[in-house]
Amino acid sequence: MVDLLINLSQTPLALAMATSPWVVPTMQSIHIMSIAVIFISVLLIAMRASGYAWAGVSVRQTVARFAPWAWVSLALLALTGIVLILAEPIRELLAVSFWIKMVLLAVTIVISTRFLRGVKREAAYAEVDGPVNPGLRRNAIVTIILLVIIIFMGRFIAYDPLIWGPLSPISAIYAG
Amino acid sequence: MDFTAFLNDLQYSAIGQWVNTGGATYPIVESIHVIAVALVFGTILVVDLRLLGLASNNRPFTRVAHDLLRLTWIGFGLAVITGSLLFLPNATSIAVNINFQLKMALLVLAGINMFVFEFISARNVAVWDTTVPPPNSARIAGLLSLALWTGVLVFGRLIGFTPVAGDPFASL
Repeated sequence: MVDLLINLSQTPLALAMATSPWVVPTMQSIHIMSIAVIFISVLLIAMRASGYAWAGVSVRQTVARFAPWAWVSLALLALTGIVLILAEPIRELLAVSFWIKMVLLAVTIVISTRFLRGVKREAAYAEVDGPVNPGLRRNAIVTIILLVIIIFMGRFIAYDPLIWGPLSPISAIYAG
Repeated sequence: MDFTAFLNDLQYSAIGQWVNTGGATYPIVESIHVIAVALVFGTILVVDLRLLGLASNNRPFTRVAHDLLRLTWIGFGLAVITGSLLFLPNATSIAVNINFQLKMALLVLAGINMFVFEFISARNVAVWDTTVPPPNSARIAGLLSLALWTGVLVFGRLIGFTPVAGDPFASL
């Protein structure tokens, strides 16, 4: 695995991207902007579902306003993430933080998709200022906590050996 | 006291050294900074798009702003605290970093834009609260805000791509 990643990092494309003064910073900037958009979109849906914001509009309308932004941001995160992996495959793919981030992201997408299906199906979510569903509030809080941990893991990728010590395969590379 | 000596004192202050050598402290503070930036940029984006008449048009501007500006200020407060903590350990090098200086300049301009909007365009907000698109002065304020905050975010990220002498995380 390590040899494969070392070879990948030595390909002309990876070298060009890694040594370019603008590719990684630009991709990281777009990545952070996308994180901001997805975080606020999900936060506002969660706050509306919990009755804390966007009053006077149904949960379904709030979802219709913000969910497309979240999905577009997710696509941008995937695109910029792939470029960042290609530019620095060892730093990304050997990082424990990266894999925790990916697993939590998959869990968040599953939870969000189920939530969106529920909002589309159940008539109660079309009511303006209807009563807050405790299950929906719990779902919203869990999703926000997951997103916060995902953001932490995303930043921890850069510090993987420091955070995870010998558990991080990158530690062995630095030691060797 | 000259400014360089002041920065040096900040850098070697107990809190500056704690951030730099406290194990996972620096990455944790940096992660909280990212969440704070996401709160500020994301909420301002929603308000700016409403000012431009591009989204949330079925909602009065004042309701959009009322719902979001609390979050913006929470994020901004958090960003100032965590940003200061990140600045301290490398105060002498970051203060002269061109990307940091540009970020700060854009931050000041974004603040001026906000005050100009509050005291000029927003004074007669009752007239255009539900109007789509809002008047030109509000749209210009929205466009400027969007451009300035994007600049703040981009130059903020670029600070991390400028080599800093003695940075223990440089190889990561």
